[in-house]
Amino acid sequence: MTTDVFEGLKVWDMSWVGVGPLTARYLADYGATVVRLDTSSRPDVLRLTPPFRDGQPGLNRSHFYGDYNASKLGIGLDLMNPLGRDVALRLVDWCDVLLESFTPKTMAAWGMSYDELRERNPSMVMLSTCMQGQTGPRRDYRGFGNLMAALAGFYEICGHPDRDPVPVYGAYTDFICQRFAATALIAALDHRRRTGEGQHIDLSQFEAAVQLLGPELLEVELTGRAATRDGNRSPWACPHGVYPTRPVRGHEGWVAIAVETDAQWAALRAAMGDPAWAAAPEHQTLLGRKADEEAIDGHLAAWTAGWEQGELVATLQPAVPAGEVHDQTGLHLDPQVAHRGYFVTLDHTEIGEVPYDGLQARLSRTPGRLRKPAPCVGEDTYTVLEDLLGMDAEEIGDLLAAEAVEITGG
Amino acid sequence: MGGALSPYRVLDLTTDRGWLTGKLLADLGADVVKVEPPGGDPGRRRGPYAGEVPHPEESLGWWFFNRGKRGITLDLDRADGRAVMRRLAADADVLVESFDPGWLAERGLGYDDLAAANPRLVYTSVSPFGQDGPRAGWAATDLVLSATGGPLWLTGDRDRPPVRISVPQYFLHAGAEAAVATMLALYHTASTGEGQHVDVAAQLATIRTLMNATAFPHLEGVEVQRQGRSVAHGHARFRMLFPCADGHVTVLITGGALGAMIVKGMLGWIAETDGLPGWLTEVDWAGIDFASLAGTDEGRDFFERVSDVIGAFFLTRTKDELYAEALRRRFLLAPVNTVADIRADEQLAAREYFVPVDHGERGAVAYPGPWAKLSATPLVDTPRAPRIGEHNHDVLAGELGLVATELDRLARAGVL
Repeated sequence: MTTDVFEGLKVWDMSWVGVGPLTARYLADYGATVVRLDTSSRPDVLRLTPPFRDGQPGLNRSHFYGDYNASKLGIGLDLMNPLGRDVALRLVDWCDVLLESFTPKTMAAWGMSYDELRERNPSMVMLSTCMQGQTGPRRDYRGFGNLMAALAGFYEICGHPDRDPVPVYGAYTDFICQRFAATALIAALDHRRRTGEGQHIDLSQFEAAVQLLGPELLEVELTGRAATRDGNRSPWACPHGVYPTRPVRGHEGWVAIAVETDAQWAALRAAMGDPAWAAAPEHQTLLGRKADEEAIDGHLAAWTAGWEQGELVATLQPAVPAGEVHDQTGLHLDPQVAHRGYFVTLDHTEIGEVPYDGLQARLSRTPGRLRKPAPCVGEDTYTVLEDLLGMDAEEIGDLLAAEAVEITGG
Repeated sequence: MGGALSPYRVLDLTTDRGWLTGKLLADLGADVVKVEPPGGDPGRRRGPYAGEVPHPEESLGWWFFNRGKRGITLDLDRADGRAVMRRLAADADVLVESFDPGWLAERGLGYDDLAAANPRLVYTSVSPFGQDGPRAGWAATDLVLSATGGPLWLTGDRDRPPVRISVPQYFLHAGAEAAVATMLALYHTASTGEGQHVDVAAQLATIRTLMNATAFPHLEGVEVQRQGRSVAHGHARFRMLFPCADGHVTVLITGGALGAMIVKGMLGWIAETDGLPGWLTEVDWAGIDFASLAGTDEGRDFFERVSDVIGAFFLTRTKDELYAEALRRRFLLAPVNTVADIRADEQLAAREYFVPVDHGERGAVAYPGPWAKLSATPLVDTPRAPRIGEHNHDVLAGELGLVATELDRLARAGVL
C-alpha cells in the first residue's frame, strides 16, 4: 500500500514568489507530481534574492528559490509566446490542480481565467492567491508578504510603546497563507474525489492573514480598544521577557523567560536561590509582580547575565517556560530540532549540499519527504513535454525553434 | 449547502494551543465537537474580553477560535468521562488534541488506544516541541516559541533586546499547520481506510516563518541579524518604515527594472507635487547595481539621502493618501494598519469579509469571516462558539444515545 498521500496527483504550479509555491510544496512533498513554471526571461524574483551559494548571485544559485521549490519539476515556458501558452493549456488539460498567484487581470489577459479553463477541465481545482483577492477595488494591488504584514496589522503590534513599530522579519503573512491555502485546497480535493466536481479557490492573502488577529478584531468592534505593541510583555505573565546571557559563539546571547503561574514563579525563585527581592510578599501574585515589572526585569537580567545560555535554559526547564533566543546556527544545533530531523540536506546542481526547511508535522503512516532539490531554470522541460504531455521529438523541436520553451542541462 | 468537509465529524480536545485547527475544519463544513473540562476550557480565562469584567463566556479568543463548534463537557480524569470519550472516538473521523505529550495516553486515550477501536481515526496532536525527543516535555509559551523557533532573534531594535509580536502568534501557526496535516491524513484515509497519528511541533512551524534566513550560515557564512526598521534586500539595507501624518507606512525600495519602475512611480509623484532636489532627478534607477552600491559607504549615504527625501514627503501625507497613490502609480507601499484600520478597510468591506454572528441578547457581532472563497463549496457561515456544556444533551443523548438517567448521573457526579 502506498505511503504517498498524493501518489498520482498532477499539479501545474504557475504561481511564483511565496504563497503559491509554498502551498504547492506540500503537495509535492506528499507525493504529487508538481510541474513548476519558470523562465530565465521572466524569472521568479526569488531566484534573484539570497542566500546564494558563496554569496554569488545567479539564477540557479538562490536557495530562497530552492527551498520553496524542492520536490518539483521545472518547465521553462514563455507565456508571452502563443505557442508557450498552448503548452500551458495542455498542462491545464493534464492537471488535477492548478495554482497561480498573479494579479487577477493577468490570467484573464492570457485567456486563462477560471471560467475559460473550466471548459477544458471541469474537474480541476484551481487556487488563485493574490494580495487582496480576485474582486473588489484593490484586487490589482501587487506586493509581497512584507507589505502584507504591515497591511494586516502585524507591524503595528510589534515593538515598544515608546517607539515606532518594528517590522516583523520577512514576508510574515506568507506562512499564514500557505497553511490556510493548503487546508482549503486539500478539502476541495476531498470534495472532488467524492463528487467529481472541481472548483476555484480565491484566497486573498489579506483575508487569511488577519484571521490571526481575530480576537483583536472582535475587541476593537466591541470595546473600541485597539491592540498595540507592548515590547515583550504579556497581560497574563510576569516576568515575561528577553534577558541577556554570556555571549554565544562570539556574539550576544539572550534567553526568553515566561512565568504564567504561581508554581512557575516558585520554581524561578528556587533556581535563583530565592533572593530577597523575589521573596518580597508583594511579588507573590501576578498583579503584584505586574505592578513592579520594570524592577523585576532589572533584577532578573542581572541574574541571567552571568549564565551560559544553554545551561540557564536547561536549569529552568521544564518547571519554568524558557528558551534560547536562537540565531540561525542555534536552530541547526538545537537537539530537539535535530531529533525531529527538521533540516534536510539535499545536493542541488549548482548550490551543492545545503539544509532545506523540512516538514513540521510527522504523519505516522504517510510521512512526507523532500523528493529532490529545486529545478534549475528549464531543467525538466523535456521530461515534462515528452513524458507527461506525450509530445514527440519533432513537436518539441518546433517549440524550441519558436523559443516557446527553454531547455537547459541534460 | 454543506461545506467541503460536511461528511466528517471532528472531536476537538484542544486547549488554546490548538483551537485554530478545529475552527478551520468547521469553517470548511466539518461537524466539530469541542470537548472541555467541567467548568470550561482554561483558555476562556484569557483576554481580551467582550466586556469590562473577565468572564469565561466572554473571552474573545474563545469566541473567535471556537466559532462553529458544538460544545460538550467531560472530565477525562474520571473513568466515566473517559468511557464516554472512547465511545465518541469510536465514530469520529478526526480527533485533535494539544495536551502535553503523553497526557492522554496516561488516561487510556492515546492514539493506540483509540485506533484499536477505530482504525480509520486521524488523531492529530499539537504540542510545543513534538511528541518525542529530548525536549518533548519542556514547557513553552508564545514567547518561548518565538525564541526557540528563531523569529525573536530577527526582530527588534539593535539597542534593545529582541522583541516579539505582542499578540500571541506561534501556536496559531502550529494550529494552522495541524489543519494542513489533518487534511493530508484525512485524504489518505478516504482512499485507503487507514487512519494515523499526526504529530505537529509548534517550534518547527515557527521556524518555517523565517522565510529565507535559516540557510545563510551555510551558504554565505553569516547570521541574519535583527535590523530595526530596515529591510535587507540582497546584501543591501534600506529603511522600510516611515512615519507619516497620521501613523506609519512601509515601502519596498528595490533594484532592477522592476525596482526602477517602482521607485520612479513614487519619486514621480513627489516631483509633481512638492518637487525633487536636482541630484535626485538625475539618478538612473534602472542602471543602479543595488547590491554592490549598498555595500559601500557612498551607497549607504546615497540611500539615506533618498530615504530622507521620501520620509520628509510622507510626513505631509496621511496613510490613506499614500496608499491610494501607491495603488494608482503602482509603487510598493502599504499603510501600517492598526486593528481599527483593518476593521474599517474598504476592500474587506467590498468582499463582505466581516459577517454578523448572532449573540442572542447582545445582538449580532461582526466577525472576520470567510478566509477563502471556494466556488463550489463555500466556507460555512457558522453560529457563535458554544457556552460551557451547551450541547451536552444534543451530543451525548441525541447522538451517542445516553439515556436521561445516565446523563443525570454523570452531571450529578461532576463528570459533565
